[in-house]
Amino acid sequence: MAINVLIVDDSSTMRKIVQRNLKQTRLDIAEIFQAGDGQEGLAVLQAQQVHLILSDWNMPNLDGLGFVQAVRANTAWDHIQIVMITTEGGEAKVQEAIGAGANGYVKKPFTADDLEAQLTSRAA
Amino acid sequence: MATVTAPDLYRAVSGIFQSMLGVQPHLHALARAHAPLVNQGIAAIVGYGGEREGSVIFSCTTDLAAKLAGLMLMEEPLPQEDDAVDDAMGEIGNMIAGSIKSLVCVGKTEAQLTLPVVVRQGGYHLPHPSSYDRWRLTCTHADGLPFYVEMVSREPLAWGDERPAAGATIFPLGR
Repeated sequence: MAINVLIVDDSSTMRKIVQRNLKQTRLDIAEIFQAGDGQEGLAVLQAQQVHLILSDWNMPNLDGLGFVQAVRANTAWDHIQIVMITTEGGEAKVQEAIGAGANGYVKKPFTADDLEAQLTSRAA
Repeated sequence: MATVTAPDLYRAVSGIFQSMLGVQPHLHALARAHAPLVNQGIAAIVGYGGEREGSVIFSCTTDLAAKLAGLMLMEEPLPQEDDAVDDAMGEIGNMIAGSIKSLVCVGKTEAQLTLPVVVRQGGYHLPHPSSYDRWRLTCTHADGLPFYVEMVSREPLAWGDERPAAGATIFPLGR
């Protein structure tokens, strides 16, 4: 089944890089949506069917942690896999993200292979 | 005192350039700075606070910034005034600051990064007293254009004695 992906990052550069890397993976992707922060991300989720979220941590308005918490607070979105893509690579930050409901973690800088390894294990 | 080896720092910066831009910078020197880094044309500033506090400044000419943005996006060099140049500079600065934060926040020590602020031309103000430790990494891009990474830290930074990997271009460090 082809999946819909939501990229949440306040950097348009990073959204383009993640989108480019996504297209290089073996994932069967139908559509890729983009949002500039957590609030925009929630708005996309209200309007679109999304299966996988790739979210930054440090963002204005609603950061990645708050976004993950908001997604996990809605049982209608329980099926969505969430992978954080961020510079916040400390052990405590990883535990905080996982505790909030994130399913995986990719630390910047990353390669297309790093992303593929994380995402194909999610999609399996 | 946070102990970071010079090779750690070089690996952090060059790893970002290799992974995200596909280029290997030349790393020239790491030395204590006695005055704030002059904005080379465009500067990305990222602060961190918590159990460690400081800022990281990444600065280069707008010409080089446009080339770096083009490399990140796998496009031709962008127009120097393009907003995407500022965005790319902020993201590079963010990744460098994140890597440096990981080096200075050892064990369970935690600090939070601020969002990057990108400044074109002119000066910038950091909310740190002059007593903060200040170190500057000088590098050049493949075409010889220089860029700088400055670390301003409340906690004195110490640099280990480990020598860099063979092939790295560096000069002895100030202590």
